[in-house]
Amino acid sequence: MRKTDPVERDADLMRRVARGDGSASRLLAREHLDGAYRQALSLLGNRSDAEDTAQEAFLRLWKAAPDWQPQARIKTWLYRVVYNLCMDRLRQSKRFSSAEIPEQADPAPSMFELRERQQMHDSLTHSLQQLPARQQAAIRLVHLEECSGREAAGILDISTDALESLLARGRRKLRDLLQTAENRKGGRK
Amino acid sequence: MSHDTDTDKQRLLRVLDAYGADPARWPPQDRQRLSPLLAAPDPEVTAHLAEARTVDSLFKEQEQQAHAPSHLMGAVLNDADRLYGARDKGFLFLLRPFVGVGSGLAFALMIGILVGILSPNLTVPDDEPLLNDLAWSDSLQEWELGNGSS
Repeated sequence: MRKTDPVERDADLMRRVARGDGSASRLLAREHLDGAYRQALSLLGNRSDAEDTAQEAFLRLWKAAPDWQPQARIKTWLYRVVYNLCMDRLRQSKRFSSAEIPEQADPAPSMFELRERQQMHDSLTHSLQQLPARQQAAIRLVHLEECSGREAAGILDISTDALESLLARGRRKLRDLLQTAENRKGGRK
Repeated sequence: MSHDTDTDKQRLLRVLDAYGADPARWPPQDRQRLSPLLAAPDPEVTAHLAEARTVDSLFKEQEQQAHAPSHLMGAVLNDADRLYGARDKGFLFLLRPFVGVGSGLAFALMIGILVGILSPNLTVPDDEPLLNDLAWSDSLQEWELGNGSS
């Protein structure tokens, strides 16, 4: 059986999407929606924002379908859009929270937040969210979404060297965070 | 230690720190060249390898990952359908909003006809002249007289 080039395969799927072939859009959504959603959830830490971001990224993907050129993988393109949308949201929320909300947020989490945290955070997810956004995104892409180093560097728009530095720093920090959490848990017993 | 071996070792340490202990995750150009070095009895490599394995094991535990909710899948597919879905179906897509209402009305009509055919007893029988006479007579007495009763 002839192995098709993944970039060509993606381009073919995009042509079919643009022709209104529902099976092609379903296939793409099945392949990439979970990953896009997880990436957004990890960076934003909020399910509702993650859903909006993933939907927005897919809307941009559908709109790009008629002019799609076989130059990049859909996965790389889509994750890059998700990453940029997340960064925009994070920047906006920071600006908004520092300039326009003078009062401090209630430190006690609501029932909803507690439930959400319980569902979403095991210790790794929680520790991942404490990493700087770029380290977090690099680790998620390479170690959890099975992207190659080159793909991840392309998504984050950095060199492979820079990606490796992010990964190494992120992994080290992650290990320290988890170690601290373990020690704290051990100390409480 | 030769210059090349030292360079390879430094590269191996960097690869272990960045990509972890599994050579399958390493960049393809490093995989073949550096994998044999893992077996070398070098305490620095052994330490980095052990640390890399510890962090890798955390990621393995994460295999049960979050999935996108089904309503998000629906919304995403709806967007695609809204943009391109109707294109191949020609003018028929204009009728789509009326399909549900139209089929409901047709179904109701069929039920009505069926009930009409299968339930003849529901129609008012026309062999009841006495009731009409009673309704149109001026009084009960006149009606009784008309019917020959005394």
